[in-house]
Amino acid sequence: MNHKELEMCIRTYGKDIYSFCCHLTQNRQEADDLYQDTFLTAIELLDRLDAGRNPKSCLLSVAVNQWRNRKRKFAWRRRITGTQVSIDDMEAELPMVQETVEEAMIFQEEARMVRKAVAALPEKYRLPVLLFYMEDLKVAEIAAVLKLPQGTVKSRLFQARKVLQKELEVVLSET
Amino acid sequence: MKHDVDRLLKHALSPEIQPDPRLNQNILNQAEEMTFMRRGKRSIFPAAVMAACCILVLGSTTAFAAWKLLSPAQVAEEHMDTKLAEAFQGKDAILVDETQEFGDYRVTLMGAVAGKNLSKYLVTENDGTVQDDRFYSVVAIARTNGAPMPDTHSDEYGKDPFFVSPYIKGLDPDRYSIATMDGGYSEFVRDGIQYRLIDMDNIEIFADKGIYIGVNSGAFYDSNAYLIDEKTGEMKRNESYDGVNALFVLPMDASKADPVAAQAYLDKLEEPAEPETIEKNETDLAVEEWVERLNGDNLEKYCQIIKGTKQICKPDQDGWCNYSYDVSDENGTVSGGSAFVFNELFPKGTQPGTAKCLGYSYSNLGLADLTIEMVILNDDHTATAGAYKPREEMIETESNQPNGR
Repeated sequence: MNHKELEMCIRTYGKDIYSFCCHLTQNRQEADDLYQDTFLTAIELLDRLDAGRNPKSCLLSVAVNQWRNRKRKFAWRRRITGTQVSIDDMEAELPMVQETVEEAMIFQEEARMVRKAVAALPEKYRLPVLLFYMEDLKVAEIAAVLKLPQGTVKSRLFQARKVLQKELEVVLSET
Repeated sequence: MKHDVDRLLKHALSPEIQPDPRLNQNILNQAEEMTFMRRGKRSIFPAAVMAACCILVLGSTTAFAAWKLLSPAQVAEEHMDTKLAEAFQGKDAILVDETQEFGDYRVTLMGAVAGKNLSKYLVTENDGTVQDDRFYSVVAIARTNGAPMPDTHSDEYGKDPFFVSPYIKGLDPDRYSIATMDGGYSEFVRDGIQYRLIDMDNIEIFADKGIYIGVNSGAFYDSNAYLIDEKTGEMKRNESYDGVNALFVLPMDASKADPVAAQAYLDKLEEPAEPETIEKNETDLAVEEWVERLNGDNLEKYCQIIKGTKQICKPDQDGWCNYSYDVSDENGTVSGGSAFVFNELFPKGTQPGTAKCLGYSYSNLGLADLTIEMVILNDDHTATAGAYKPREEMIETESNQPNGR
């Protein structure tokens, strides 16, 4: 991947990959590191990958692999630096599509509760949920990113939905 | 009910978090260095590309009343920042309403305001410092054919990106811009017009030099978009630039300049950033040293595998191996794992039995709380991975080091 292609790649997928990194790490500083490592690793890897494969899912694969390789270090750093970002800190980033301030506030509160519930999921459920709902990947693409059988991905998404449905009972009863 | 969970998740997890422009620039810089190291320095733009960029695109500059646009105060209100809205209505606000057209796009500089505590939303840095002295400006971008700009949550949004930044006359825009001066932006689309509210360190202290606001195609500053007079520092649009390259002169009050503060600011900006380091104490270093000495021959002697973590890893069609485990015991669930490229970890010719470390944990308890993920090459192009703990008898004394140390 040359400089121009990398720039184009960052422009096109930067926000998606960065959002994924933020939700995965729950920490801006770690998200920055992961995001940077993802693109720098991708420079080497993307040339070797199948040109027909969705570049976004390739980048997400790299991010997941980097994360798995580094999360122990992250966990340690989190303890000493205390830079964990609260779920609330990501609130301001949501697009404002509501008509009234009241609607916007309700939306933000709902979103905060949902993100909190997702953040509390065990990683094996959280990853497919983020890839499915945030990154719009299909089950087959998620299976390729996580290197899991499609059936396992489906089962994890199903389990995650069940957990979230229970956790978000209050929100769901209001919608 | 299922539909509701899906809808909630989709909304709440919308990928809207923008990376800092400096982070993107840093990636590009590092990529450039990597290229340099691998192949030697080469031009980013081959001659053919440069020639293609020289297609003449004329931009026309007009100033007219932007009657269809929101005011800068309304833009701030849309961001729920009533305090900033008030600032844009105050006597210190600079209202410009100048429009420039380039091919498909019409760019309007609406106004700017600068000062202390102007916004409800001030950023607090990691060290607790509040960024309270800021510069804000609003730019509107519309299509000349009247078609709406893509909404910020549509798939089309960001496919034709713009870089909006103030520049200071006499200072290199590549080095001094919103990307380097603690800047950021937020934007929305209303009635088909894209409004971008930018904010950055207060540049009013440079008011006597002259301030420009540039809007160029792309996600970063594009040096091809503008021409700079090296003697005077004056910026001009590059008329042959293929894309949007709006350039406005912001009529700032020169009496608000503070050359001493400006120089101090530049000096501070020039200070090399402290490299991010992970402080390693003696315990961590001892763990690192201990782990480095592990190999296929002594692994079983010094470590004990955690039950349930052993797996045979076989590379998939792309050469990747995925190792992951979830183990539950009386102390709870332990999850972990790593993904690796088989041939990178075990290049051709590697002896079966060779062990490689995939990762390990740091802890204040050192070896007593160490988990190491190891993978050992088998003779059938597979590898056996496992998570290990140091054997208790091996962590009691210094002499119990792998390799007999």
